Amino acid sequence: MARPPPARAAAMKGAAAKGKAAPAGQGRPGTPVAGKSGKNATLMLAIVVLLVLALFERPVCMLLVFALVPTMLAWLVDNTSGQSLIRTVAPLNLASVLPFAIKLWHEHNSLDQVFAFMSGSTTWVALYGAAAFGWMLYYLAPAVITTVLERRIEKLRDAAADRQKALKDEWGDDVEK
Amino acid sequence: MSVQPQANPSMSATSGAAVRLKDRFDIHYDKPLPGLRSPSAAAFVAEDVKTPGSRHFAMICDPKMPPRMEAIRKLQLLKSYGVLTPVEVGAVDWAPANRRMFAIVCEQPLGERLAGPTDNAITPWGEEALVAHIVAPIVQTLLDLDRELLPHRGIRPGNIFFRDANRRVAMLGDCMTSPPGLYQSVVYETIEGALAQSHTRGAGAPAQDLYALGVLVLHLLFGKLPCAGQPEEKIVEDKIKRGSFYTLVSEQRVPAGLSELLRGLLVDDPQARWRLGDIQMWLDGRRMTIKQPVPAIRAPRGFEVDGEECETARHLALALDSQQPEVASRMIRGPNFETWITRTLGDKQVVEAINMAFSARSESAGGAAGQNAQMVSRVLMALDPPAPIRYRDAATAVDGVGSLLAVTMLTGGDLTLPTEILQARLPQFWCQRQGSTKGEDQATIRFFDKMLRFLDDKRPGYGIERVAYEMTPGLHCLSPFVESRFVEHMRDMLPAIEFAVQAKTVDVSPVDRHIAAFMATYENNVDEGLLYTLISSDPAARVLGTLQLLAYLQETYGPPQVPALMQLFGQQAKPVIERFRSRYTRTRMQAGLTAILKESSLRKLADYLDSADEQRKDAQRFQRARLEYQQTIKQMEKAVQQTQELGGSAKLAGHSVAVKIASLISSAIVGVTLFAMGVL
Repeated sequence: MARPPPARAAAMKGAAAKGKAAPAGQGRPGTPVAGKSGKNATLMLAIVVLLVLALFERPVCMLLVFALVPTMLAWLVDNTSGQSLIRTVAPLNLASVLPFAIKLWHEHNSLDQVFAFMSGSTTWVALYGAAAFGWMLYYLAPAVITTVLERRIEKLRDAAADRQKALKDEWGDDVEK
Repeated sequence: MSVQPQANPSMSATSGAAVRLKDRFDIHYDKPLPGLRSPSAAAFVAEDVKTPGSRHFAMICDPKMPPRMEAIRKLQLLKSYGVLTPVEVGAVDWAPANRRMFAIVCEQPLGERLAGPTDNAITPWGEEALVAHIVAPIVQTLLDLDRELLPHRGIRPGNIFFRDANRRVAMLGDCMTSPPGLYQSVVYETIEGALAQSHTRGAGAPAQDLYALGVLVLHLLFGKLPCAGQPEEKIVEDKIKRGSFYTLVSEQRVPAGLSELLRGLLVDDPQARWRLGDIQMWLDGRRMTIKQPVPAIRAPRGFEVDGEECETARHLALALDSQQPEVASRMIRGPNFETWITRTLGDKQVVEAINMAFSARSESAGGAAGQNAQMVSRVLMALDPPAPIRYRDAATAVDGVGSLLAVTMLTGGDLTLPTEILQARLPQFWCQRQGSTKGEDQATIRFFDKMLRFLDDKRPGYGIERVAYEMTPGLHCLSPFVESRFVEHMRDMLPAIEFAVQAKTVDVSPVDRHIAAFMATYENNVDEGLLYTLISSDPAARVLGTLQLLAYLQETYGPPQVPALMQLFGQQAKPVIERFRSRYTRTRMQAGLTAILKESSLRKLADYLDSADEQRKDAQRFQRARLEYQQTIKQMEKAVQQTQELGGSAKLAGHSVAVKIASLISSAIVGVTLFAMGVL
């Protein structure tokens, strides 16, 4: 009999368990408040970081304000309990900012240089491309996962149906009783 | 249907118009010997192939009459010269009858028969010659027979030969080919024997032979059968009324020298009749005293039955027996009967017996009419205890019930009468009425009780068929499948069944109730459970039960090759194979069957089809398959559930994956950037 491998079964179990524990649009037990507070904490942290940077590193702060627009949008849009969208978009967005920030620090740490970066299309493509990739990743990954799981379940169902047919073929209808 | 020789080691066909019996005697069916024939057996020349020139003849028994197998066995052991003794017996393929027949080979007597079988008139014998040449040799023979407790029951002129050509030494003829006393004239029978039907007289006792010897002496002395020309009923009635001696002697003059012998032999009371020792002493010249029989109690006033005045209980029994049971029952239940019995006759034993007859009840078939007939039968036994059991149209000695049943079966008659006799426990009542102190009657009662249990048991191996085989030793199997093969021993059963299957006489089950009963009677090792399967509602169980029974026969007696039976079971194996639940097992079994059938071993076929190991494995695998099927159902239900829940869980998992990928890529970008820009 084609039984699902233990690892797969465990994965399916895990997926199902996850699905049950944290369905889409809902937080963990008691998470609506926790999720909201987490989101606010993120905002507060970002504001504090930006204020600190505005005081000591105004060019970098300016660069981040321009560059992190996709992340801000994600903050606004994301209503998931685990802030998955923010956690997907923000790392890519921040990583894409890093080369420009290092360059700023090493070369001309001025607002002019920031505007010089901003005037180049490559900068926008680099900054927002990475963020867009994050957005794309966020929306495509569930579809891909769904397709993969669907195929896996279908295979298991087909295997069970084939086995049933084989059993009935050998033992007749009595095997159902 | 053609008779084909069987692979039977005891018999084989020979060239010409002859058949060989047990590799020793060639029986020529084109050489009849009319002078040696018996009423129920034709005689033919038999040649001893080991001793050429010997004078033997074979009696081919009528298959409608059961031979006296007990007498045959005892005579083979006895080897007396004074009676026709079997040298070899067995069934042979008898081409003229197109069937197997039972043959008894004996030495031919040197002398002729005393008289023709139907000759009533004989040249009268002188007193001295009669005693010297007839009485003395016969008494010597009866002494031999008495040692084996074997009554001859066929002493009559037509059944007496001479051992020598000069007709000086008489010898008794055939007493083996038919039930005891079957062809005895009523004249030659005691009152009890004459009251019974000819085929149900039973072996009786040596005293009956002595009575017949007395009649024979009278017959030869006067040269004519006593009471010749009189109706049988009249002779019996006269014997009862006047006594046998006066009835048979009538007004003829008996020589003084023989008067004593005749008076001693023709006494109606068996206890008062001369015994063999008495005759020997008489032959030695001693003068004997005649024991006077106790006269029957006579009533001062007779009981009228149909215009006839009956003065004794025995005469009344005879008169009542001549009436219809309903009429007799009305008379018996009437007030006159009780008054006559208790006051007029005044025989206390009869009164007591009548009370027993009225109080006896049995659960039997036949309804109210049957109960009436049974009551009449018991009353007749109460009135005349030594007389045979008289029930409706049957009249049988207690040891003739087996013959009654066997002959009824052999002639295709109605078995209702013998069945009702057994169910009504009439033989047991008869035994109780004898008042014997010997254990013989108790043994007989126990035997009939056992027969009644067999009769009431409707399973194969029991029933009326079993009773017939138990009560008639030597009765061949009467199954329509094998009757013509004359199976009188289990070793002949399987070849006979094989023959029947070959001849298409059997098309379904080769074991019927007769064969089952025959096997149960003669094979103690047969598993009764197998016999019960013959009536199972499950066709597979029936086939397997039959197969196991026949496999046992083949193992025990052979023959090694039974192709027709193998083919029959091959055709019937389908329901057996269908018992296996696995289609693959069935296919494998069916495929393997062909090879097994070629081996022609019923045991191998039975073991193959009835393999307990195979059945256990099949059952275990079926249970596992059922569990597995239930598991697959659960798996499919789970898959459906998972599909329904897939939307939410996949989205969550997708987002989680997206976060992880983003983290990974970001880390990579950071790492590459730091490295590329010389920070690290």
